[in-house]
Amino acid sequence: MKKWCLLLLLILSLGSSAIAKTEHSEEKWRGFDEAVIERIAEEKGKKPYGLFSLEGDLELFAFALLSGIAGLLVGYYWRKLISENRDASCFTERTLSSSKGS
Amino acid sequence: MLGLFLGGLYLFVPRELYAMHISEGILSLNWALLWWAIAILTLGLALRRLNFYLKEDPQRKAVFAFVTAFVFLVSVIPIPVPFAGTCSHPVGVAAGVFLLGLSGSIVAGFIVLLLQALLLAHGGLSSLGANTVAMAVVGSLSAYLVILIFSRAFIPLYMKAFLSGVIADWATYGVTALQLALALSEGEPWGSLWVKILLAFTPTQVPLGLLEGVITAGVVTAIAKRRSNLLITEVLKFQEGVTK
Repeated sequence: MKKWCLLLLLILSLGSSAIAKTEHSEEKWRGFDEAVIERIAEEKGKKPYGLFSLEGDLELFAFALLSGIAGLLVGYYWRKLISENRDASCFTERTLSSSKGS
Repeated sequence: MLGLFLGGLYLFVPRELYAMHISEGILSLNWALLWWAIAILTLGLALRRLNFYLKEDPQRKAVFAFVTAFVFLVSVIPIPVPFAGTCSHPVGVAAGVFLLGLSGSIVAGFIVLLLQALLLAHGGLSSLGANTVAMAVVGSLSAYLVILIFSRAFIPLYMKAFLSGVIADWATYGVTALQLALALSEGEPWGSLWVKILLAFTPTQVPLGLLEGVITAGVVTAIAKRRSNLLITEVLKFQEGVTK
């Protein structure tokens, strides 16, 4: 199951990346908020704005940095919770009773 | 390993980096205050419950950290949807519900939205209440309801997780559409505007919701196979023998 999920994610990422590269234009692959929500708001006379603006590659840097940190945290806690405490006995009485307290 | 993989996955997405939250300037003050009031009320209840939950089992703090980081990561990855030609992102709270229950998922969702507004200018502070209600509260609540509805049904865990992910995603964007319709329907019936916005959301969010279901099913099943006792009682209660 894990292998299938990882394979699916890889195919999706590579596939969407390839599509984005071949069909990319100024109007394509805009964010959903800009393409739909902000357009609807502007039609109704509202002018959306951000708290601050991240210009140029600063936005890419901020997203990459924070995503990287979040990814490392996910990996760290995954290892701490799952890999170092692996429990092969799924859905036994013991696991049921230990989770009842939560 | 999973984190490094997901972090690496980020490198493949195109450079238009936008999240799907209501930004500043869209909601009028009245609507922003109303959604903030609902969000604060719900957060108060959720925090109280989570505090009790974490005091009872301090080891769950690591689960809370994992869920918060996971929701943050999933909800900043803009996924291109070929049918629509736009990018949008999953919400990730359904997986949080399986691990922390309703209260933990709501609080984690709020923290993620706050960080995204303050650090990435995605969403906003005036619209944070509305975004919290849509993603953290309604997204988590709908996933939790799916778990409860199917708790006695002997369907595989991955199917429950898939349905929770799909419904959480669609419910989040359904409520976002409602918030926009209510705020922007000046002189126009809000119902017709809601339908119009929902139709505009459909090409992007229908496939993305299905993808969210797959992600949720993958994460929940992977955890169930390794440490089933991390899942909440409502999931485990009727699950014995199903995923063996």
